Amino acid sequence: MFRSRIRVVTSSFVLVVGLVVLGRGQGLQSGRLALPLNLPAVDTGVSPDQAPAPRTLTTRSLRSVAGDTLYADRSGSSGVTYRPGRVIVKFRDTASASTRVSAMSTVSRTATMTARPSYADFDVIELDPSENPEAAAREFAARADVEYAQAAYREHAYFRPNDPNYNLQWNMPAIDMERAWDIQPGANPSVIVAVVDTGIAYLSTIIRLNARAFRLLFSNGTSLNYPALGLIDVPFGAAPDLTGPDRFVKPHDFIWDDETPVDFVGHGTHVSGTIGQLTNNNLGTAGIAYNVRLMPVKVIDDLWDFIFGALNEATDDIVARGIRYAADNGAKVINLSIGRAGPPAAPVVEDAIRYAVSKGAFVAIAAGNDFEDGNPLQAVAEIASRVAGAVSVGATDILHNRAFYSSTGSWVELSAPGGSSRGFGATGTVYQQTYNFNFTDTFDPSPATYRAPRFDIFAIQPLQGTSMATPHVSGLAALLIQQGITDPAAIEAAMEKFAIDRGTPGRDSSFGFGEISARNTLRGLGLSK
Amino acid sequence: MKTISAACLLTLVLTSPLAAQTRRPRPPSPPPPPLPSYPAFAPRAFVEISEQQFAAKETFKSVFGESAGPFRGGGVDLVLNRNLFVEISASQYKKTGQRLFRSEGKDYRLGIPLSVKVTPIELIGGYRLRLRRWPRVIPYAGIGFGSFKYEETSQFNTDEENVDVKKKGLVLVGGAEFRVFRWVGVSLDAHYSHVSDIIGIGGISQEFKEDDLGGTAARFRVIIGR
Repeated sequence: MFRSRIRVVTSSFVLVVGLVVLGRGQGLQSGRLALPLNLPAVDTGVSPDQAPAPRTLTTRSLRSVAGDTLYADRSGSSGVTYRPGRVIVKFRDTASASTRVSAMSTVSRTATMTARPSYADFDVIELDPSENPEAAAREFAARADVEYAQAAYREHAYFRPNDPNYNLQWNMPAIDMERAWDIQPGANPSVIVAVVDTGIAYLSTIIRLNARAFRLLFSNGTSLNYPALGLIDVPFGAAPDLTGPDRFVKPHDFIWDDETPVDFVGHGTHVSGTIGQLTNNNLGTAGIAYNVRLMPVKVIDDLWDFIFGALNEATDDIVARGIRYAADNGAKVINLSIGRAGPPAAPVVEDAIRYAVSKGAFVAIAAGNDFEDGNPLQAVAEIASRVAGAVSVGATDILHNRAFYSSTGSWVELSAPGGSSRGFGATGTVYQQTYNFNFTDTFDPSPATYRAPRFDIFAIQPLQGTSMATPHVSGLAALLIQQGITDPAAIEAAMEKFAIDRGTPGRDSSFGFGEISARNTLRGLGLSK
Repeated sequence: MKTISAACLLTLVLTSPLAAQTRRPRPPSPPPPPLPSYPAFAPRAFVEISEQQFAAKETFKSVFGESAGPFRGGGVDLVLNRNLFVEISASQYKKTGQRLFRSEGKDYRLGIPLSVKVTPIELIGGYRLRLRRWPRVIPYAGIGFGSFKYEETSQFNTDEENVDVKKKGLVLVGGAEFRVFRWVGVSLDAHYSHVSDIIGIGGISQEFKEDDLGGTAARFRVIIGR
């Protein structure tokens, strides 16, 4: 469910009205032809007109330099990881050199002491790596000439990705993602997440398309006519911070009825970024389940699909087919950042969701952005409240309050950061990589500047909406699957149990059970706490 | 041990024919041997191992894969005037399992190591029977209380998330001691403990509504002393 880019939220609505008035079949023949050209995508960084000035990262992940360890870390009886072959000992000042040597030989025949390291008032004693340093430390500590002794336990920063724009992603710490990544770093490619949406920028190619003439109608009664551009070669790029070897699986386009679900609007690409943006790669932003494979399933059309003469529009049946396709092709999580107001209900979609859950797929659905537009019931999101294994997701802002647009109702089950520009500007929205809209929204602001679009130029874009909240839940679901909670109903139950209660105590119509807590959910339960 | 076995065998051999000769008057049984002398004040030491079936069966089974586990420890006791005793013992149960989530009756183990230590220190007083017929066998029963230290740690825990608490609980014990030699004995008994307010207020134990950290154990001891 779009809350789209904040600067065009109104005009998008007008465009849709225009499309409905114009109908289909005008101009040249529809259809598209992929040309055998493959050009690299262009990354233009943070969208310059909306994003705050970049800040310098003060903390970098230690995970990336952990490879210098000679021996694999081990866990002691406490579960804390230590470096094998090393004990830290502080002898009392009165202990002579010979006493220290004697102590070492008493504890272990392999013990050797290196020169005291700088900035240390203690000694580091090396043992054979096969020896138990915790036991050795206990022996040292028991001696009268030793003040303390301990194994060399591993310290680490809470995993903070080194992606340069991670500092814009308040939404990650908001759900305790950094500590969650310590537990489950990004799942793995065996987990497939289907993004049933507007497609994904997953392919670098050029597609020859026929851009028809069209007219936009505005709510004040005026209209704008746009000329036909005829057959144009439109470049598409794979989002640089999303694409890796074997990253995308079983793409399908139900709008164009083919296997090339490229994104004409950037929504599905942004959503995919929150789920699985490549992370800790010194590029762009971070994603929650950054090692999963993504399945692009296009079921939503937008203006360019209309201009180019797509075969289908986003209707309940198309969405239902997309969900079934994802379930039949191995998706374990299905992200639906889409929806519509109701009634009437959408039984065809409900059947599809139930089918997907029965096939073992967890389904996350946007709760809707219509709170200030009469707050109608949301026909797709509402289904989730009746299906264990599907959840509807409301949006929170940077202060953990309900985002101003986020629909409320009994169907809301969970909430997650969807962002809010109100009171916070772009800083309060959700940043991920998607298209640079200067090159895709060429119809904006007027026909005078109208030109062929490019879908190969990318930027870190600030968007807001329950569309942006939902992929947080999908990403967490993927991590939970990797962690061992595989049943969709159990995934839902876990997220609801460990959600942090917001708003009115207990379940409420704004937040559902609360805002997801990634770390708490992945950590599960201990015996007594 | 050999002496006892031989005595039992001899008893069987002698009693079987007697049972058939119902008309013959039973000869008077020999008087039981006098109890060996015993000091009025006998301190002893022991080591013990026990296998406890935890009262929180489902909880322990979910976390560790089994609802029972061993305690190892030792202590000292004091026998007063042959029949009364008071003992103090310490033991420990230590086990590593996994954190988990439970939904619809199914456990999902999360691969996050969880270690538990239970360390009871028990003070028990009781009564020992001296049987004139079997002077080497000493049945006993006792009651007391324990201070139960419970520690729980998990990987990824912060200090606040680790558990380190101590609570008191009830202890009952009953069994028999067998004197192997003058200075060595062994005992086998049943041990019951009840400890509340440690588990059942959070974690998976709360899911199961199990709030007793105690249980029933079979204990075996080797005792040094008279």
